[in-house]
Parts: sequence; structure tokens; C-alpha cells
Amino acid sequence: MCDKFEEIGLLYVSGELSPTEAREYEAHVAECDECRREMEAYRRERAELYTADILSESPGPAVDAEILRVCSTVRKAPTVLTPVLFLKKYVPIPVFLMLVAVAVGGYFRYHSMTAANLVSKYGGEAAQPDLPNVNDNIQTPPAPVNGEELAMLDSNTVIKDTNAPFSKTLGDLNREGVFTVKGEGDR
Amino acid sequence: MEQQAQQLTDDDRLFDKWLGGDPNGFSELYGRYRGRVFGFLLRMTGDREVAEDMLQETFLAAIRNVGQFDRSRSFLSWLFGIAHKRTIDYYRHAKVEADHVDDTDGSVGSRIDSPEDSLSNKRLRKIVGEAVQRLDPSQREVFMLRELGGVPFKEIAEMMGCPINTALGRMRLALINMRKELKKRGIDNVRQI
Repeated sequence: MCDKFEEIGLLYVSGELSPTEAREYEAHVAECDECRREMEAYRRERAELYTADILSESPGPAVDAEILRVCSTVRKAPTVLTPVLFLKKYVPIPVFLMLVAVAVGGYFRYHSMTAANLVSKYGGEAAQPDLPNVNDNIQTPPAPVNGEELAMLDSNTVIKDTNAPFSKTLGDLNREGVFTVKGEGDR
Repeated sequence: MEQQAQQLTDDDRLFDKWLGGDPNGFSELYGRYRGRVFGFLLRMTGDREVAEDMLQETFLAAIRNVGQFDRSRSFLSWLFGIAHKRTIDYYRHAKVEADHVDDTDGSVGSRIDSPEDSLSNKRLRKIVGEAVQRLDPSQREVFMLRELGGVPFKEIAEMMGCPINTALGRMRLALINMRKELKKRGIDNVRQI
């Protein structure tokens, strides 16, 4: 039994092989009697045993009329054109990919805006007018006299700035150069 | 092959006509394929009334889901995919497969007779229909999808959830069994009758 092209004859007879596959199969059946007989049998059976017309059936005329009547009253579901579908349909693929890349890049850039890079971008303590000045909201201990007293603040105390979208500890601000705690380096 | 390609082009034209709002587009597509879809449903269910209901459901579902039709496929294959799902639901919910097998003993003929046939055509259709009905359900399914629906074997395998070689094997057995059944009834070639 030749199993190399077993049942491929059916695909060949049905016209479902690619041109290259079909040529390869034809070259094979030219040499293999078994496969050639099998392929010819498929072809003969499909020609002799039935036709699509014989296998088809007719519903009654009343059924036809009813189906056409019902179907004419049904509205086709509209194709919903979402923004993504619109882009896929009308925008060329390279442009579409570029837009996606810009959107993704923008997303990450927005979310990487930390206090540190805002400060480095706008110049540290000499902040731009629109940069929230965190020093305004730091509750300093009553009348610190010198750096040592200020240094007594716990560097893990969270300083909340209601105008800024982040919370920092005094230590963080010190390390980032936003707020210099006198004597912090001495501890 | 050329005839098949021409048919696909015509389908496209009718489909565009239908989508453009001309109801004749749909009625022409319906007229072209109702017999094939109904033949499939009838052979799969063995019951004319059930098949008629399913025919209506199939075309209604086609209208409702026309936006999902992939224009690279043939319209008929797509329609058969919908009809095939209806037969699966039918078997799943009604659990009629056992009755269906019993029907092949003789009562099916009276339930699937077509009202429009001439006598010789009617006889031939009845004999071929009985031979199809005697096939194992999985062989019948592949056979009808391929030969009436023109569904490619690759798609049949996907629809049935089996490897393509299994679908091809079922088709091969279906052809062998059809030949045996028709020979028993004295038919070697339907074109000579």
C-alpha cells in the first residue's frame, strides 16, 4: 500500500491542491499504479454515483414563499464601524502600525513622568512657575533653630503634597535634590 | 473549474446587489442555493418538516450575520457552515440520532419525498437518497458538505473538529459505501438512467 499520497487523490480530484502540490502528485501517479487507480476511482465515483442535482431537494413552494417573506422583513445587521475597524479598513497597514507605535510610546512616556524627571526637566528647586513647589506643603517642625533639629525629622515621614500627583518621603526628596534637609548627610 | 469560478463571480455580484439594498440579490441567491442547503438538511435530519424549519433558520441567520461573511470564501460554503451548525444543535437538543438510524429502514422515503420531481427523477433521487441515508452519520456529514456544499476538506475538518486526514478517510469510505449500496439496487451510473 502506497501511503505517501494516501487520500491525496481526493484533494486532487476536488481541485484543492496548490499548483505545486498538484504537479508533485501528478508526477507521483505517473509512476505509482496504486495511487493512479485510486485517483481514477474517485473521479469515476464522483461522476457516476450522484450529481449535485440528484442530491439537492426542493422545499415546498409555500415554504419558499414564507422564507422569502420573513427574510425580506429582517434587517441586515449593520456593520459596526469601530475606530479600530475604520483604521484597519481605510488606513494603509504601515500608517496603521505607525499610529499604534505612537500611541504606545505616548502611553509609556506619560506614565514615566516621575517627580525626579519632572524636576530634572524643569530645573530642580528653581522650578518653573507651573511646577508645584513641594516646599510650600511641607509641615516643618515649629521654629527649627538649626540643621540638627530639622535633621531630627524621620526621613521616612511621608510628606503629602496636595498639589502634586505623588507622595514622597523627606528622605526621597532629599535624595532627589528637591528639598535639602540640613544635616541629613551627617546622620 | 471555469464554471465554478464563474459561479463565484456571479455570487459576488448578487451579494453586492443584496448588500446594496436590492432584495432581488437575496432572492436570487436563495433560489440558487435553496435546493442544495435543503438537500443537506433533509439528509442530515431525515425529516422534511424539521429541514424546512432549519432552512428558514439558516437563511435568517445568514441575513443577520452577513457582516461576518468573509468575501475570500465561497458564499455557499459559508451558508453550509451555518446549516451545519443548525444540524449539530438539532442532534444535541433533540437527541434524535437513534430514531434517525431507525428511519433508514423505510419510513424516510415518505418523509423526504420532493413534491416537484418527475417519476424517473423521483425514483433516482429516492434510491440515491436511501444510499446516502445508510451512510454512517460522520461519513454522510463529510459527503454532503463536500458534494452539495462544495466545502473544502480543510474547512470540513475545522467544522467537524478533526484532522483533515480523518475527513478524507470518511469521504473515501462514504464513496465506497455509496458504490456498494447503489450496486445492490442495480445502479452503476446515475447518468445512464
